[in-house]
Amino acid sequence: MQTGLIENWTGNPLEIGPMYPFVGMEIVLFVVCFAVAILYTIWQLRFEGATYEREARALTAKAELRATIVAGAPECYERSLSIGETGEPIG
Amino acid sequence: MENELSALTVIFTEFYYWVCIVLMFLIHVGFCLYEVGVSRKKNMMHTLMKNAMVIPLITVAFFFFGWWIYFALQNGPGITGGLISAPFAVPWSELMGTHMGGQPAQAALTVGDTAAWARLNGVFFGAFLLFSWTCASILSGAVIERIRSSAFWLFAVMLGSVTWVVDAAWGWSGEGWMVRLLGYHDAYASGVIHAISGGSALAVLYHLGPRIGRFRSDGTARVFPPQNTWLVIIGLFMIYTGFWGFYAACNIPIMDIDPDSVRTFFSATTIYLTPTTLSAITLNFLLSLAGGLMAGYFVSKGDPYWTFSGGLAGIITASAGNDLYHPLQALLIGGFGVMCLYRMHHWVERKFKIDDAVGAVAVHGYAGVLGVVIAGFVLWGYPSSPNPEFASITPWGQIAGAFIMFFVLGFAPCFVLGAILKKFDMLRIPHDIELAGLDHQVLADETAASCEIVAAELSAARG
Repeated sequence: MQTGLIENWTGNPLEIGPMYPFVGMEIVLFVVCFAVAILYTIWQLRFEGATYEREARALTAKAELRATIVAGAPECYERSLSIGETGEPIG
Repeated sequence: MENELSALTVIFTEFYYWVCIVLMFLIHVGFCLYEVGVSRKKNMMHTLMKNAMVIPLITVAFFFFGWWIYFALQNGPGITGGLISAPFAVPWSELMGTHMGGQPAQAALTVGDTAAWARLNGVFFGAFLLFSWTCASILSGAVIERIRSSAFWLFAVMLGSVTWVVDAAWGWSGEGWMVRLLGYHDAYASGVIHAISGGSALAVLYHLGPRIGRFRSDGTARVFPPQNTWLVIIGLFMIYTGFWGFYAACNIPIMDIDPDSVRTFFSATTIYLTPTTLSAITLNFLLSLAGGLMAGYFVSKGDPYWTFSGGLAGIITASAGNDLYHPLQALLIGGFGVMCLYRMHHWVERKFKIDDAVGAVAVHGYAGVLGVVIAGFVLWGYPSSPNPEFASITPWGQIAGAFIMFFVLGFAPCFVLGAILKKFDMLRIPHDIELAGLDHQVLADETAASCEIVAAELSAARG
């Protein structure tokens, strides 16, 4: 069994060409890898869309969404109640 | 490699690019740090993953078609000739694998191909690939906190593996039609990397819209403070460091430049095979960095973000001609560019409500365009190539080149793709998720896990 073209390292180095195994299978390898890349892209698009859909459903209740926003920046909660849209204090 | 001189030349070149690639990797590290530092805590992990996944996705796409595009499209095709055969750069080529440079096994290759490319194909590929990552990273920072990752990756693959490679084939190669007909000169990629990436970012931002809360009802912009200023600054320092590798990788380190091949005269050259020295570009790099930093500090009145970004923009503005400028010219050009782009950034932001989270359109896009145009005036009449039949450098050639980089290959393709993705609601994340933060689920899971551990520890303490 031999997967490559190299039989020994004692010949003329100038005559050594491709050194990787399965020389001649490059186009098959390319087609397989290209197909995998396309399938990966499709999976990724679907995975991300489904994740957002699921998470958005869970956040639909306003109370849940407000609680999540506040949890992300608790230090701003008190102050945000007392300032207006332009950042000026209310009243 | 039959003799010591050819062996030293080839193996030195191979090692030179290999080191450049390592240094350029720091650009990507820097961009990741920078983006994570700028994003809010609720979006941090997604911001990191969005940019980190550029590495595998563009690498694979660039292997599949990007490398071939660079060699095949130098004539347009259809402008100065047809498609150019590049059998060493197709993904199924034996020269993309381990090879000693001997007799080829594939009929499309010659002994000359294997001798020339066996030791250089991989390192040239690597250097170009790292430029591709940089292009995508520039776009990545501008669009944080509201773009879908999958949409960004489609833009990234198009920019990193197609459009920037086309611009490099046209204007950043020894035989590109823009060099031949326009005398286009862009030694360290003001236009071919930065202008195209800035133009692309502007088109994506146009379709994407600003982050929720970015603009007040009177049209003025709110500041989104960086969640970690130190990460931002360290990130920018990393990008500076990687930029040394970027500059070096734009050169060919050793080549016989004697035109008649009567004598032998070895020098470093630019990508256009015109002579330069590493010493000269070191000085110009440093002085344009200094000019950018000083101008950034001055114009922003000491704002650290704009001062450090100004340093980067200073280098970018001088890059097109940094192979030939005097260091003091590089200093002035770098400073002038930053003064202009700072004002342009704020004007565009106010006027068109463009929310560019990191100022990428300004620091890369406007600086890149300015750099290309300025080089046209300062280097007016210089030969663009060792080939005397090629056009020389002119302001109009450079203006046309800057337009092609920013609008034709940068803005237009991303504008079209952005419109398609927007139409199918595949561009922006859902409204409620943007409000809650892309990482809200991750953060909730982490809190739950921490609470469970604390509960277990309290239980153990009681027991």
